[in-house]
Amino acid sequence: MEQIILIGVGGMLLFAIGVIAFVVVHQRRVIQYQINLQKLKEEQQKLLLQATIESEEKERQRIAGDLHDEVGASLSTIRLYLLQAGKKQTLEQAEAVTVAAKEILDDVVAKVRQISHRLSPEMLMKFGLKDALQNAAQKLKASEGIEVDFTSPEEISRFQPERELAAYRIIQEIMGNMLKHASATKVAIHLMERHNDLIIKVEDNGKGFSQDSFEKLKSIPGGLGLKNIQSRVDILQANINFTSNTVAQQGTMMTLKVPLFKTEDTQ
Amino acid sequence: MEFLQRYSELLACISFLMPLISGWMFFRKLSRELKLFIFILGITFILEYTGYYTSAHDIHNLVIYNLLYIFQFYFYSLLFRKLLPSNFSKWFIRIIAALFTIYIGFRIKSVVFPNNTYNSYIPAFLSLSIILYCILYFNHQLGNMQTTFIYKTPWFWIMTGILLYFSGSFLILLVTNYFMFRANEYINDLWTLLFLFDIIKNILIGAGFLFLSNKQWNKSF
Repeated sequence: MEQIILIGVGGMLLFAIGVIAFVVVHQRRVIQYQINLQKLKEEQQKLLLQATIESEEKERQRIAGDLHDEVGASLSTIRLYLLQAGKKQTLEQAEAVTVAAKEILDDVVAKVRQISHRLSPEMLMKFGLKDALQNAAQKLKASEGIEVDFTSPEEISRFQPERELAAYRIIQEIMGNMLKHASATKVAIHLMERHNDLIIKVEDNGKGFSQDSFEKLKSIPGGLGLKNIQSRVDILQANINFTSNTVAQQGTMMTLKVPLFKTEDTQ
Repeated sequence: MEFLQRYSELLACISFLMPLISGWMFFRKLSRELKLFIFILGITFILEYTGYYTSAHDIHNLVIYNLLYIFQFYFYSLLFRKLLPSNFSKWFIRIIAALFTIYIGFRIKSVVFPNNTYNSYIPAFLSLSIILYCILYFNHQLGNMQTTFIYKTPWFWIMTGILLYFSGSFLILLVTNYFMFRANEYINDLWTLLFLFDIIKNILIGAGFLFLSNKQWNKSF
């Protein structure tokens, strides 16, 4: 009898030790999982930072190229014309050269405005996101011959300029991708305000692009545009979501939900 | 072995001082639950020591142990009710407490005036309930992602000590009546084992209280 009791006591103790060991092992796994998750996040952050730096570098190179090829060349031509104007014998000849120089100068002014607009859209700064997006939609319609539908309430709250610019850049990148990769012929842009969020929806009828594809592509080297989108979404503390018709693999709807105030402002 | 048999009860009583003293050192920093636990330990120590003293002087002491088990049952139930936030756990504890109360109600005469019969079902019920409470507690901790280093919290060591003690003592307490009155030659061995579990439990609890000296200690303990 005593032996049976001792075996029973041993069994109960083993059971208790088993419960405790299970808890400890499980906790270790949880810790390991959290460490891995943290590492993954850090890696993602690193990729995003790298993408931001690369993108900035690319933008600088593009601006340098624009200034060198378009503005620089034109200004050199104007300089030559003005030098020639000084050497011309008659007033008519000098006037003709000056007129030509003025034409090129006008062109340079337009080009500088264009570069400046690309750097910081004037419409956005003056009138806000709604007008800037409407303007971008109109330009898209005019230049690419795409059917563009833009809907928005009469008034949309304005928020900090840098946040408006980030949201604008995201939509600009999305529209650029639609043209480059989705071969869309119809685009619809909807703006709406829900509680403290601004919701921007961009729909197209091009090749489908799902959330999975977004997650996959942004986490691999390359895919600069998508990384920039994610980085701006993070800055805005916003949410971005892509849905696509998975069966037909056609048409994409992107939803961007931007809080109108920063979290710390609202607290 | 003879030394153990002779002094195990006294050593078990003395071992209570370790968690009591270390708990007392950090008493101000303790959460309400830990203060309640110290209170349970303190009363257990007093009743166990009284039990030891009376048995040493051949005084009838079964009523003291009955009181100890009833006290432990209700106060451990209260402690776990405070520690476990889920509704399921709270209802589970209520049902167990109701069953225990009904049983005690039926057996009140043998509890208060035990004469020469040791009611094994009361401590067995107590042990089984606390084993289940401990499992509920660990289950709650598994779902709680905030507690990453569970073994660096005093409660982990307290629960480990309690679970080991009550798991080890469950069967011994259940058959005590049989051995006490029918196979008396083995009863001392079993009591010795029980006191050893008590000592292990108190060492683990004492070790748990040492984590209170950690700089990263926080009120959630």
